[in-house]
Amino acid sequence: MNRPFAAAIAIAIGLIVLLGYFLPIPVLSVLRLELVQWAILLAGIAALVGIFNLISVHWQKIRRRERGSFYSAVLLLTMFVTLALGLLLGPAHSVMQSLVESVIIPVEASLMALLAVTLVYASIRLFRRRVDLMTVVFLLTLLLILFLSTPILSGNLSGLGDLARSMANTPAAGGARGILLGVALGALTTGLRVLFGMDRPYGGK
Amino acid sequence: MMAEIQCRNCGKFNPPELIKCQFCQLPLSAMDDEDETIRPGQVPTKKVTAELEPILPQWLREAREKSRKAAEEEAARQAAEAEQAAANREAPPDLLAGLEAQSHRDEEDEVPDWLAGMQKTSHKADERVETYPRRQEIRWEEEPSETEPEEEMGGLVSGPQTEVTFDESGLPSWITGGPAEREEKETPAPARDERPVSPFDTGSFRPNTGELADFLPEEPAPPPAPAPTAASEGNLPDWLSNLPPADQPGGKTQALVDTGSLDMGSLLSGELPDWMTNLDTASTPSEAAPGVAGKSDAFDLPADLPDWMKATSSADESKPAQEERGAFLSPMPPSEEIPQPPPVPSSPAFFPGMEPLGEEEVGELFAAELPDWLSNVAPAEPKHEPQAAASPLAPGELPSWVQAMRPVETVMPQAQAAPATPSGPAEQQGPLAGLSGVLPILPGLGPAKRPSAYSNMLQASEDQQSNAALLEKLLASEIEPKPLAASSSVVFSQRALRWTITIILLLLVTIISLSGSQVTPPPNLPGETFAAITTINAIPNDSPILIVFDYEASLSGEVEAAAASLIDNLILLHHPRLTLLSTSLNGPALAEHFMKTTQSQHAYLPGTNYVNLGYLPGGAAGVLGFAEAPRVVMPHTLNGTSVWSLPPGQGINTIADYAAVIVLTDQAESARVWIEQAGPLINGKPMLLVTSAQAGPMLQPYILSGQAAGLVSGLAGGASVEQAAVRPGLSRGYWDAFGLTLLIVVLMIFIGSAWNLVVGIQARMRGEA
Amino acid sequence: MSQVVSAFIGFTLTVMVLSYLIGDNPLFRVAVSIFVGAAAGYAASVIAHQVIWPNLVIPLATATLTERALLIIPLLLGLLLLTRISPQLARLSSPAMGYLTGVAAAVAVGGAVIGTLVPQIAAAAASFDLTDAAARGLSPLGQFTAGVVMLTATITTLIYFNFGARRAADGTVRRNGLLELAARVGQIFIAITFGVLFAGVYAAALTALIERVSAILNLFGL
Repeated sequence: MNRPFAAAIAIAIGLIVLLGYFLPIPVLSVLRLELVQWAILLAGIAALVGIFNLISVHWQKIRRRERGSFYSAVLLLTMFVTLALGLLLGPAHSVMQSLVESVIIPVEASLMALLAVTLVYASIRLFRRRVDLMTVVFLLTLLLILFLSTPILSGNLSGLGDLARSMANTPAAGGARGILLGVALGALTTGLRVLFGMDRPYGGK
Repeated sequence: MMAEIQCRNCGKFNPPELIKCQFCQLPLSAMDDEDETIRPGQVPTKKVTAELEPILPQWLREAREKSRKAAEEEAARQAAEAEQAAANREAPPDLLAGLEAQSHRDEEDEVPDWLAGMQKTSHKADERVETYPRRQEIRWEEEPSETEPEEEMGGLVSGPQTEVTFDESGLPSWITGGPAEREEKETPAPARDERPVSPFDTGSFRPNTGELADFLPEEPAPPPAPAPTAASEGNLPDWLSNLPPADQPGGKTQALVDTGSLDMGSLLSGELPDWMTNLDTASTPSEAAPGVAGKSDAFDLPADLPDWMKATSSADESKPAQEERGAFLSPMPPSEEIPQPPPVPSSPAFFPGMEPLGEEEVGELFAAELPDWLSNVAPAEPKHEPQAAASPLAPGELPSWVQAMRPVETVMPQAQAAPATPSGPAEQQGPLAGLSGVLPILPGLGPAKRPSAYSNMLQASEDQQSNAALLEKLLASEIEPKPLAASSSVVFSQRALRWTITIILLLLVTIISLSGSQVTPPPNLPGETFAAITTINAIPNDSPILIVFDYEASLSGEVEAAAASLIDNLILLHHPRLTLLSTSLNGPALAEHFMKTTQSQHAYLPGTNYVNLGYLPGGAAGVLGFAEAPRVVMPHTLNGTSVWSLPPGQGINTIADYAAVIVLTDQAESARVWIEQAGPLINGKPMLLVTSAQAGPMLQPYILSGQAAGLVSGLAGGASVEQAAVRPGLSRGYWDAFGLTLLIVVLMIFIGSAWNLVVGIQARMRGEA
Repeated sequence: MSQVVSAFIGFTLTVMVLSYLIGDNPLFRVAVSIFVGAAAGYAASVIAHQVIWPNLVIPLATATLTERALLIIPLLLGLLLLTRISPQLARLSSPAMGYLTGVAAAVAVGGAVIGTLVPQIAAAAASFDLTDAAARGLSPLGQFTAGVVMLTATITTLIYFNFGARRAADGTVRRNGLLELAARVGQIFIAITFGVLFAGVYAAALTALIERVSAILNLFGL
């Protein structure tokens, strides 16, 4: 019972929203906006579900005293403190702003900074893992683009740098367009399959 | 020399070459095979595929574990409920259960009550500990049983259900053979409450899913004689070694099916849903034709059986282990309470009002119309019956869905011509105890129409399994521990290399940053960045601008450096009214951080000069909604005040009312969403992109198509904007460290790659030599 | 004062994370746990303050009767969605998930067609508009060459992603010879594109490293 109902909802709502792109009918636009607004609300609630799931997973780890449960405890403690502060003070409060600036930004940025080392390491070892045309082209392009970003070809040699840059960027842009079109075609077919009820990622087939 | 076979009936020993006991004339082979086959009434022990799990990721293992536990608890609960409710149950068992189920907790997946109740009739021997393999793990030649583990139990009993007529005894007419036959078979029915629960109890096979009834009749039954599969290859698991290569013609089906008799590949192509395709390939009967005299090859135990299978096979003396049976078996009475089956048993308890039948009569009744769950077990020494000819029912008298389930007539017409053989051995155990020839004895009848079971346990087709096996091998090779003695120097060199890279990079960046150097020439101004600057310059004064903060904190340093100069110029030149919006959860705080750290010189005040709308959920739908009606979708600011009465929000009704939209992002994907959803609604107003360097290349096509008016990408873009504006800022401060470090990085990668290339080529040449 | 404390916490956490360069260690794990907890807590508070409260709670209390009646639907769907928290009740969330999926599919289809497919195909064709190139002061030959290269790259990349193939008489699955050749060319373009993308990723990572080092130096007034 639940699943045909869900399929009917998905198809009906999806078709209304999709038609709104192509048919400028005022009634349809109003209806579509209302439906989209509900979807926005539901998406927010879905994010909450994810957070609840995070709590559940780590709580289970602590309860079972699994390996690493200490880190789970730290995580949950931090989460509840932050959540309590956020609910009491609001996310716009200066305390919350400080929390973001002192915890979230430094840690995330530092994690990204780690990549500066690990990517060099991986690039160096790439030829040890595999040697084929793709790898050679990939690595040569990488070195060329990185080299063009250095100051060597700036200044007096900027013309040479521009030429080399355009030689690399033109095929790259073409490849990027191919990838974008491929993604769009994939989104189109996947979306249509959902709208026709052939795919039911919400728990159907 | 083979050991003598002990007759289970009389206990005397017989030479191994004999088929029947020379003393009591009862068949011997069935006794031999009972370890290999699962007989009606026996309950398989669920096989937990734990051996595969170590290579699974943690989350998947947890999911499997959770699902497994939930399935066991559910089965136990339902079995207990079934026992209590068996007497007064009004609703019929749901024979379609499980076909559509994704979750084992769904009602469709529940263990049907009649099946749970069936355990009452199980015998002591049923309680042997049998390690039950998952369907995917069964060697093809050793797949005599269709009985499924509990998580797949829903599928066991599922089948198409349409209106079926029933006689007074509650049996469908196609089973009882019509009134004429019933007259001579009818006996007083046992008390209803005492009967084991059966699918025929209530006499109402009510369909609950018309959708299934529509397509199930089209399901092809498997052919009678599937081809033997290849022997195990390499180190593949047995079940996997039996799979055909994915690229073989006919795929999985042709390897499993005797193409000479029926091309399953063609049958399964196209028209059938995926699950049904998988069903057929997974449940195609074993190759061994049990119709011939002597012990069937299908039940020979190959030497390379998995351990768990060997244990099952050799466990004739295995004692029941209650704790290992799982909750599924909970309704079963203790083994001591179950009487041994009499040599000539009476009528099965779930057939009310029937006299004990002779073997041939029963064989006629059940020759082809047996439900699948009864067809799962092929007798070890079955004998062919002229089933179609002997059946008292003409096919035309059957309901259509039953006809579709008749493998003999619908799919395997050649099976009707099977040679007539004496009646099969009498069933010793289970609800069919005493009936002879009740099981299909034609090749391929066993798993003919077993519906698939869907649960949230891992269900995979053969193709998926072969792909999974490839992935498994890849993963296994990744996590395979290397001998320390052989690789200690390698490990050390790798660690040394990583530490060397770390030290070089940290030293370079620190020294150059400390020096405050700004000696290197700034980057050239790319065309798309020049276009962005031109666009900013053309924006009218005091106009509303929407700035989207759609990046994560990890790249905030880079995006802020890239955007700082552009926004700085915008504010400096035109003093716009800014609306800040974020589609990432941390975005509202990052927006405030940006304004505080990079634009503090302008003394822009929240609520007066700019307004922070906060977080817009919903991804692309959210962007679409905001583009169409920002007032409706985002009525409040981050701190809860009404937005649209404030100066920055005045006059805004759609996104087209903004003079420009500037998207700050670190992902090409989010920029694409804004271009796709908001781009068509901005009515020619410019959309500018300020991105991380990692997103810039993917967005070039949108610049070339004119959908984005300009692009500032990464530190280089920011530095070039600063250079163009002659206002050195954050990017310029980073630029020397960036450029010089990058030069060293290029050298390291070049030298290291060349070294590894040479070493790799040398190693390859040595290997070839 | 609070800024100093905040900066010191940030410095400490930065060092803890960067300690991973030596090897995996408890400091790194603690820092990451703190980060995940703080991010999740902040996200939950943002959702509560920005999504649930203004879009659901306040309208239910203050809106007109019609609006309130309409809000019953998302309220109900939201409650159904929350049942996903419990494995026992998760199946109840199907209608809400169906709703979200339907909207997401429609938005994806509409956006892909209007926002990418049509404009990008038109742009691929427009790159051969030499008159326009001359009007913009570009070399027609250069424009044409670039257009050919880009079109080749686009088409061959798309062909590379096309997995349609036929089964040969010997049972092997192969693409048409021409398509196979085009796919190989597309593979080279994809390698070039990925090389450029990887360079971008590295530039971003290096910038993050420089920003972190600069933040630490600034903390100590260096």
